[in-house]
Parts: sequence; C-alpha cells; structure tokens
Amino acid sequence: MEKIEKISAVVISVMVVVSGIASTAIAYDANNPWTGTVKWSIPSDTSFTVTFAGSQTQINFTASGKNDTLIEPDGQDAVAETPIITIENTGNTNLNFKCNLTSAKPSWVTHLKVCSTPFVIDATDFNTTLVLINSSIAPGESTPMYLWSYIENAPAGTTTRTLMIVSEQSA
Amino acid sequence: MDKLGILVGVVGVVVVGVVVAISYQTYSLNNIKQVPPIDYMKNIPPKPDDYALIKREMDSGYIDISELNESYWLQPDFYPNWDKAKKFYDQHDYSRWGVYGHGAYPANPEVVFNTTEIGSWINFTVLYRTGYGIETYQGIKLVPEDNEYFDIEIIPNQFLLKPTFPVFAKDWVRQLKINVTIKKEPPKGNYTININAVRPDKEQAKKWFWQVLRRESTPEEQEMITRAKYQAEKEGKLPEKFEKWIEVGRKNKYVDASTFNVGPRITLKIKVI
Repeated sequence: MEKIEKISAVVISVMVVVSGIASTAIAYDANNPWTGTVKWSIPSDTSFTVTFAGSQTQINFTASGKNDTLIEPDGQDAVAETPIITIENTGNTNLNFKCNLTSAKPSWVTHLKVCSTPFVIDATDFNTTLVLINSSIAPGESTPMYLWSYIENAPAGTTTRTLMIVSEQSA
Repeated sequence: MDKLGILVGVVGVVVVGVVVAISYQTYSLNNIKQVPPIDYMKNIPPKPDDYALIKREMDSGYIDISELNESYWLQPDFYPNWDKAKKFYDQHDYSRWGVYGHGAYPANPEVVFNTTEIGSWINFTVLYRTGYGIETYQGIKLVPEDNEYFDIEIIPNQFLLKPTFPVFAKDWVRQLKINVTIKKEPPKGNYTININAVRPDKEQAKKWFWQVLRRESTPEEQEMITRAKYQAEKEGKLPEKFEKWIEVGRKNKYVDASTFNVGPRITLKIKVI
C-alpha cells in the first residue's frame, strides 16, 4: 500500500506598488532626483485541490498474490480513463508537477510507474528521483495522475512508502 | 404464419423496449429538471456594498484583514482564481471527489521590527480556508519551524476545515492570529520562517472524527445522489455505484489534512532594521 504524503504548489502573482513623496511640486533633475520606495508585493494563496476517484482517500495497491503486474491502485481504471488522482492548479501561473518516493521502494516492487495519460506504455518508472508527471498546467486546469505497480516475491502484509508530489512554475 | 407471428413478436419486443427506454430516460431527465440546482452559496452572507472596492484594494497594504468582518472574506471570489474554480460547482464530475485542499491567504506575510529588544512583538491576521470543491472535513495543525530569534504563536493552531462542496460551509474560512515575538536579540537582516501543516493532536482528531461521523445528512447530499445517478446513466455506468460512493464512501468523512501537504502553508518573512 502506497501512501501519499506531500504535494507542493506555489501561487505567485506580482504587483508593483510605487509610493513616493506626495507634497508640493518640486522640480527633479540629475542633482535632485526623486527617490521613492518600490515594493514588490507577491500576494500568495497556497490553496490547492486534489480529487480522488470513487470514494478513495489514499493510494492502495492491492495485489492478487506475491507476484503481480500492472497493479492499479484501488479506484483507478485506466481503460475507462479514470485516474486515481487529479491535481487542480488553483494558482495563477503555469505549473509543472513531479513526483518521487521519499525513501526507496522495496526491492520486490520491480516497477512503480506514473503517467498523466492512461497508457502504461507511456508511463515513467520512478523511485527516489523526481520524475515529471505533467508540465505547463495552466491556471484552472488539472492534470490526471495514473500509477501502476509490479511486484515479485512480495511478502504478505502491508508496506507503505511516502509519495511526494511537487509543483514548480513552468518556464 | 409462424414466421409472421415471430416477426410480430420481435417487433413488439423492440417497440416495447424502446418505449420503456424513452420513458426511463424521460423520467430521469424530468427528475433533474424538477429539482432546483444546488445552491452552493446558501451559507454565504450577502456581499457588503463596498465589497468590490475593498477587494480591489486588498493588495494596497492599507487594509488590515482583522478589520474586515466575515461577510468579506467568506465570499469565494475574495480569493484568487474563483472564476476558474467555479467549474467544480457548475460542471461537477460525481465520479470523483475533492478530498484534500486548503491554504492560507495571504500566505507570505511580512513583518518589520525596527527594534531588536527582547519581548517586542507584532501580531497580524491570516485567513486559512478549505480548497474549492472539497467534500471532506480536514483536521489540521499549523506548526512554525524552530527559530533562534523569534517565537511564533498561531491562534488557533489546530482547527477543523469544513467542506466547500456541495455547499460552502458557514465557516469554510478561519481567521488566524499570528504573534511574532523576539526571544533573543536578532542581528539586523531578513529571516524566513515556514509554517507547516502537521497531523492534529490525537485526542482532538478523535473528537473531530466522531463529531463528523455523527452529523446529520443535508438536503444537498440527497441532491448529489440524484445528480450522480443521472451522470452515471448518461455515461452508461452503474447508478448504484455512484449512489454508494456518496451514501457510504464519501459521507461524513474526516481526514488528516497533512496527508496531502502542499509544502509550507505560510511563509513568514521577518525584517529587522
């Protein structure tokens, strides 16, 4: 069973406020320049919205046995194009989304894959290094996130790892 | 004759099948047409007369949030990107649900100390809200990073974030007081202290869990079931599945908000001049 822990999202907007001396008219020249305070205000809103499929609240890979392939998390159905998670960009700048595990996956997890489309053939293997989920997600848009897992000789019971999702402003 | 009888029988079955299908579809569509749209703004107070002007000037630096009454900051469009988030409400996809979502506004406050005297303090207000389209109740605790020179107090520092779907809860936004106190003489300069979301205290979380689990159903939740089943029918999926998600899987759900954490919730900048 995999456990989601983190996602980072940054909302940035820039406003320039110029305040200066408001008083009697004064002629400014090179010898008497006007000086004021320029303040870059970056009003920020750190809110976000993450939706899950069905009635899920976390990512659970339930295998049929100790060896299994193409395991989808409960609630995901790639054939029906139902991702386990969608991440909404509620910011006001284009964002890239990446993910990784904060500690290495168990050795019996031979593959852990992520993709923004329902096609596992396009999915990227990942472990502790950040990999791209999707890029240039515009404000108000969202990215789906599909996951698959493959296991060999897995021990019985539940094993968890922390999945971290980060966002960064698109170039 | 036998063949004619069979043919009539087949045609009859086909005709009956079509009539039944049309009736069922009409019934479903009529059900939707007869039910008014979900009034997701029902708990939001009316906007003050000067709301547009106040909102315009929020970034001027002259408006202290603590001086505004809740009729301003309970409005969804008080916050960035409401116009883009409205699709959660106007075009809702009932096959999914909003589970985690929250944030601060403003999330990057800046305070300036013109003294380094121990005990000097500044306080200010920050709004903390549930994300748009969230159906869960999220317990959250905010904790500042340790810092050598400043004590940061957040009041309240743990609270229950209420849903914003299918309707905005009356208190979907919380007003937080943040006190910054010098505890050790700081060198002049700039400091950044992050405030992060963590799991709430266990006893408090347990209280919230049971409080949420036992709450009464609302008319809007019944409305969601009707709409979800209609969506399922339109998409050729099982209405019962959608109904079960809403009636059982998603109902009265408490979650730990820090499970899905968007980095620092508040980035506090302190300038000592």
